[in-house]
Amino acid sequence: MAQQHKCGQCVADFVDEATYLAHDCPTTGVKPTNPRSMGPAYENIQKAALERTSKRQAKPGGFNKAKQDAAIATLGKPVAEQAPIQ
Amino acid sequence: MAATVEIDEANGAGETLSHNITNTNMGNTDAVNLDPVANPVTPGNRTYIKYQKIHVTAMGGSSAIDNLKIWRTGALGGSATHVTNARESSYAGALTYATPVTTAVTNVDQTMPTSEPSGANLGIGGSLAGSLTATGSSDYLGHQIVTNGADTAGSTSTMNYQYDETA
Repeated sequence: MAQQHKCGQCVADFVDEATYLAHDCPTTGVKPTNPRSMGPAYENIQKAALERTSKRQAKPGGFNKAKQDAAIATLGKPVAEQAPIQ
Repeated sequence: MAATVEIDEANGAGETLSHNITNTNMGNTDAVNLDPVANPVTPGNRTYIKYQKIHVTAMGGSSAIDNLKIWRTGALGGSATHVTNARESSYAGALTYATPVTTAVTNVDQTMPTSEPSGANLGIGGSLAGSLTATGSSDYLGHQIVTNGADTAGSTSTMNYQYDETA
């Protein structure tokens, strides 16, 4: 069975990943390849990812306080789980 | 410009892949973005396992994505535990997708970290040292909540999916 693809935002179905990536999502307003599809914090997420790599690659002694203080942004997803009230 | 990244989740016998999910709610149904109140877990049971991955949809001029870290912030309800295949050492390689179940899954037996791990705990291409230099996805992250028979209420918390990017 061929793998099915679905947009988690607009819930549209696609026959393959390429078609999904090419669609203009009515929920996000952009294609999935557009950084804005990551949500309103996309610039902070991208900046933090680049900053982390800079920190890892920095030589000892080349510590940059500004980079340390950079906001740490991640792709946060809420979790909820519910057990019935007994 | 920088890379565009989303979280995907697979469900069902046919491995339907939902892209750019809005949440990772856990419950008693195999579904993406599920309603946990409508699908509560019977105390003592497990939620359906989640199979998720980090998907780079565009590199945006960057050269690499690596150092994937997964953790949860916030407490679970009652005495529940949260298990995963994510681990910083003795990584078992890429988790193979199978129809999600409410029973224990091989290699999905590590406690989900509750703070940022010191190193990568989810692989790319089966290795924690792996990287993406073009569009593509990480290994599957498997995770599942194991409730206790005495638990009476659920909880809300946040799953964190972190990557590093090289310009």
